[in-house]
Amino acid sequence: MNDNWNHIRKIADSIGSDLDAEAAWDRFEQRPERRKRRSLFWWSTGAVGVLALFLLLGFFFIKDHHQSLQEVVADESMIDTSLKNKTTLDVKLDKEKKLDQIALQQRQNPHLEFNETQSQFQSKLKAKLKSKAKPLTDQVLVEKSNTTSIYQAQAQQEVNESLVQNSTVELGQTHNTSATETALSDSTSFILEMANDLSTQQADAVETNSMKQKDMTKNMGSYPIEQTVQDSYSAVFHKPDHTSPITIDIGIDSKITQSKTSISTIPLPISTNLHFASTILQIEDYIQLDNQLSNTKHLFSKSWTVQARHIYGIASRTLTGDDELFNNRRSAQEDLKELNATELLITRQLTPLFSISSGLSVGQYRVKLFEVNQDVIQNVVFEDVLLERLFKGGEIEERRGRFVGSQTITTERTRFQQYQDISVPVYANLHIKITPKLNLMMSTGASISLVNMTKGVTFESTISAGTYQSLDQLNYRSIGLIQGLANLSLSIQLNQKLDIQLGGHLRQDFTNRFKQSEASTDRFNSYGVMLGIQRRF
Amino acid sequence: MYLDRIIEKCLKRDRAAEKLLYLHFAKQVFGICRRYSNDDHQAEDYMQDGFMKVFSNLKSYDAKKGHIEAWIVRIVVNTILSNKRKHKMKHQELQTELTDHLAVAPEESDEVLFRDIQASELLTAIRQLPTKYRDVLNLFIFENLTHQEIAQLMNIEVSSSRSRLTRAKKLLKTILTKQVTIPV
Repeated sequence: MNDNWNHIRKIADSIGSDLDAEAAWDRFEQRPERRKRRSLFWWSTGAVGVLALFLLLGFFFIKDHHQSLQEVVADESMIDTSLKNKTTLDVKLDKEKKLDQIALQQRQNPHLEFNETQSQFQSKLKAKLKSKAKPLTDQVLVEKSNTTSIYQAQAQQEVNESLVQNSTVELGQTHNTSATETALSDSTSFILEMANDLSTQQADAVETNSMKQKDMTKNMGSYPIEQTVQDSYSAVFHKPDHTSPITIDIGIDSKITQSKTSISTIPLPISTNLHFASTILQIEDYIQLDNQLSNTKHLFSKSWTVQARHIYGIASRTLTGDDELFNNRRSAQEDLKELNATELLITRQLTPLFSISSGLSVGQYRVKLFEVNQDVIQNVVFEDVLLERLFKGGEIEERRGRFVGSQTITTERTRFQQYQDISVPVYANLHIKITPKLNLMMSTGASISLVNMTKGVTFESTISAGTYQSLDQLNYRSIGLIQGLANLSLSIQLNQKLDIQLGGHLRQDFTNRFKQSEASTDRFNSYGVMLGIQRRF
Repeated sequence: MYLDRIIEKCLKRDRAAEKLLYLHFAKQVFGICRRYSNDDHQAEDYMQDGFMKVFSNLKSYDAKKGHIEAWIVRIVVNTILSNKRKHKMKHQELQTELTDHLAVAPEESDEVLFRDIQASELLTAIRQLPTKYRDVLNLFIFENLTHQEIAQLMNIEVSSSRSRLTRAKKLLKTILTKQVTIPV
């Protein structure tokens, strides 16, 4: 009897031998589950690719941005070198220069305050100089060195210039400078020591003034305009700080994690003491468990989620129209455009795959403009300039007068513009489960702004010394800006309630930022990264 | 080694490897599915569902616990039974009514009859069995499960498994006897 059944088993082995396996495979590949898996693979690959592209472009943009700043710095170094080469007077002793600098600063900046100790010290110094003065030799001394930070609130236009003076003497006697230096070093060492001390205290005073100016600027809420005023004889080039810190605010973002149960995600229980054949029973349990979990999909299909996320983007703008001002200034001079946006969204999960989100978004585009111009003006008359210093009987006498020279004006400007909006975004989200704890979310939507604000000033004319006009006066719209939005992100499930989200973000203005009465068109677009967190309820 | 490499690539979602694995076991799996099904369309559905589960659960396969062939067969059989529970077929119940009234052939003629049958005849005979008998017969005779395992798998008593097997054997013999003895 057993032989019969063994024979039956052998016969049964050939029951499926007439199958066309290739054709069956083709039909297998056409099954919806297989197509879905393939599409999921390509979507995942595409998502990773797009994310990598975002990061790569962002990296190169930041790199280029730093390079452009370095080029600007290099240009300034050239300016500095050329100015030094124009110097016609010999360089004096450093300590003596400090003494002159202090005196000059005091004349040019009457607002510069000395503290009580410094004033007393200065008085004592003058008295000693007078008592110890000896008639030595005359020397032409024309020296100015000054570096200040001037703010827009104090003087918007006229003080936004760097003065570089290259002068020739009109009055005064010229003598051998080396002899003067020798005499100074031999007979007035105490003066130099005092001058050194005084210059140190003077530097403290300058710093105190600078801090006061900064405080004043902060209180007035205006934007700083970096400016360097520099003398051609100054040994130190005070480089303006154009490298304003680029703060990459990484906020938080979020997405819905749908819980799609899949048989592939549930590991089979491992039985260690049963024969392998018994796994069929385990698989049965496993399939039953899968069915149970499939029935729990509805628990997630109607859930609410709160998301908070922050977006940092690299922005660009499309400026069209016949206005030469905008085209020149914004297309050529802008070297930084960035987006920072924070979104707080409430998401309704309609199905395991689909959800909608809406909430509030606060966004800000930030534009930085930087410009360096250099103009040389001939035959400029300078009044009350230190011309010579006489050493007689141990005393030093200063002679001042007027001289005519050339003046090189180096103008450096840094302007910040901000375009802010508070808007209501609406997203449609598609959720694709990659692994039990990793989800891919694709979102697209639009937003309409409730409030648009602009801050900062912009150029009104194309010449370097032109005046500036507030953005608010440039006919920008204050409401109703419509933007298109798109996100592609990966969500990592931390626990049953909390997810973190990392992805890419695209944003495009659909409407002109100018009002309809304006002929020009100004549209922003940006791409960047976003980081968020979400909480399910 | 050949299959090990294929499995390794299948785990990396290599479609070419998946095809190789499919082609390697397709005929064997199709034969199994035919035994549990009423027609070839249904058998192919079972087979495709079974391979779908095989590929999606391949990461749970442990080579130390058995050969891949045995593992695939278990997955496929389990998928078939699961599908059957989900989609109970009415015509199977009708068949039960019919086949229950077939006369049981005498056991003495078994040896002679079984040695002369073809695979298609065997398949036809198996498909004529009522589902509840057919499944127990398949699980016991061809999948080598014990009555305890069958009882647990089909959610029946062990005694029911035994009685169904006995009944299935007798019915199969009867059917085969008629097929063989009746000239075409």
